[in-house]
Amino acid sequence: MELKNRWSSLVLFALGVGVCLLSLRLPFGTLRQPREGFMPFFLGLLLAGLSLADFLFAQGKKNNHSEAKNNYRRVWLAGGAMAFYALLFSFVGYLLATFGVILWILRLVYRVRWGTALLFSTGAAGLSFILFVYALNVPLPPGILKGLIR
Amino acid sequence: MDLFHNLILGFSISFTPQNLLYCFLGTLIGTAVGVLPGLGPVASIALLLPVTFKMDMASAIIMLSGIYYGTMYGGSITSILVNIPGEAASIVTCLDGYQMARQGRGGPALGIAAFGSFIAGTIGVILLMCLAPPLASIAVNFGAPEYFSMMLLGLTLVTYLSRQSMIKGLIAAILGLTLGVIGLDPITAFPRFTFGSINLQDGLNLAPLAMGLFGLAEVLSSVQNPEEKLTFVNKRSSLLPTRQDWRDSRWPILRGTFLGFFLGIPPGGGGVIASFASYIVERRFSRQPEKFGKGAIEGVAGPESANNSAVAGAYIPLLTLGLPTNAVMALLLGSLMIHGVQPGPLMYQEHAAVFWGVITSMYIGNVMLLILNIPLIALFISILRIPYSYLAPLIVVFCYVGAFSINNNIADVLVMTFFGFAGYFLRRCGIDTAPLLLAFVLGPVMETSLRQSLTVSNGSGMIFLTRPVSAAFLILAVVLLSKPVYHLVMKYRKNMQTLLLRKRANS
Repeated sequence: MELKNRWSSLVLFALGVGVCLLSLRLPFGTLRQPREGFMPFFLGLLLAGLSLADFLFAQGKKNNHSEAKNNYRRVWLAGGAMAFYALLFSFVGYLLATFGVILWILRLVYRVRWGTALLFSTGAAGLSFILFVYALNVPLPPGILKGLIR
Repeated sequence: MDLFHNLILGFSISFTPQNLLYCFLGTLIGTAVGVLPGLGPVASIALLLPVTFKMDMASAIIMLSGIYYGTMYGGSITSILVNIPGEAASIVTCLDGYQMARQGRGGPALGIAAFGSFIAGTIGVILLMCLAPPLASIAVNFGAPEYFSMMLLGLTLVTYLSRQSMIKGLIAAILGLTLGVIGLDPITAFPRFTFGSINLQDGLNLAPLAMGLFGLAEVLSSVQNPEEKLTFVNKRSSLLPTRQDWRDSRWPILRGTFLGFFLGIPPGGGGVIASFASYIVERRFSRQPEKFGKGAIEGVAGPESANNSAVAGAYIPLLTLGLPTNAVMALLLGSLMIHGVQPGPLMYQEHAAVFWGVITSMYIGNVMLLILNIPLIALFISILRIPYSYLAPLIVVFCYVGAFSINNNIADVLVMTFFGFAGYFLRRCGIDTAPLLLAFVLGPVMETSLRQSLTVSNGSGMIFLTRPVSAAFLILAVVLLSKPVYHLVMKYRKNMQTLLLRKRANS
């Protein structure tokens, strides 16, 4: 059985149990008058049950997945870029955050040359800002450049 | 004869240069907006609603309807090319459309989506003209038990979409239903799983969820295996569907059209259920079901036709009963009411010009959509020529802008990012996220129907079996659910028999 399958089943089982426990804190009602916790409780129960079934059915299955091609370093880098982008989006502002995230992905994830990466990041951030803010009127956060733009 | 006269009246309204222009503008704006992830038909109609206040009644509805079916097609462009569904009804198009694009067949996928939408839209309008009154009276008799059973059947069907095991499909559906529970209770407005956050009280928004699970998760998955993306960029074939593609797609288009139309009528259904149901039906009908999920053109033709004819179906309860079946229809209802038209059984007589003008303009809109989009396929396909290393950061940026622009709220951005990671995790675990998203859409209606049914029946589950339509849906769901279990039991018996025979032979 694949290690990741075992772990994912356990994570989903824990999630199901968590949903059950959380829904018990809500008014449950009766079968005649089901309340807010009724549906989530049974959903949690089903999730836990199915995850357990998945865990048991997957036992003994051969691992036919090749991990050779997988490059987790790139995933971490791209995921990190996304997380930082989400956190900095309103604080730093769209323009700078977008420039940063594009540069990060191009340079660190895809190893694009510095010059090309800088040029593309600047162009893409600037043009998309003009498109969204001035053409489509989307109020994107200006962030620390508040005084300079608009 | 009456129908013929009404049609002439309708075409005389919609064929005025002014209304033709509004229809064209509507489809153009709709397609452009549909391409942008996050800005679906609801957002675009809501944004443009004030613009129509000063127009005359027919022009306003014609333009808004144009936006509606324009966005429906625009949504499928991003689904096919970059695996980001523009709106919920295009989720299923991602499954095979994106695989076709990866194999260099993005052009035929977009082409069949456009032609299928056109054919389905046209037949849908004809059905709408002929069947509106009788079908509306059937749809209005659907009660809570029928809705619950229909949704349950829909979810059961969707688990078949799971490219892995049925258990994983069910897990995805349950996860989607659980996510749908977050927010205020649909009946009592009691907060559930909000953890004190005001942002979660309205529940999770579909667009950030879809963009996270599909868009960001796709980027994360593809940075892991960049070689796959290189082959995707390097392969290209013809821009339009070949003769073989047409042969493979003609029946899926027809089946999708009729299925979509009838599933578009009941409230809560619409394009989402229609497209999923069509996909399931095509997989069942196919001689090579194993092709599905790997770039089968039938998997694009059927659902795309279904979601387009569902638009025509959704107009039936709106125009004949004044009953909006989804958020877009609710906005159109609002627009009609602002202009002093009360949709309902009397609309035929009192506002015949508007009624038939809108119906005929849908036909014209479909023609415009085709004329507009077929020449643009080459342009859309050129997106695939951009190396993925440059496309990936752009997808990320568009997803973030799309998520932020829904409510101008950073919470939606955080939710999308979270579900980007969650989507990647689920993919790695072999769990398909399409059933999750459908369950998320259907969840609140399903829960409300279940609780209402139990309350009405004093807690008796028999209410679902004593009503014929509901019972039929449930029986079908049970049959489908028990099928894999039956296969499993048969396989087990076969294995045991083989083991026994071996033992006997050895002894």
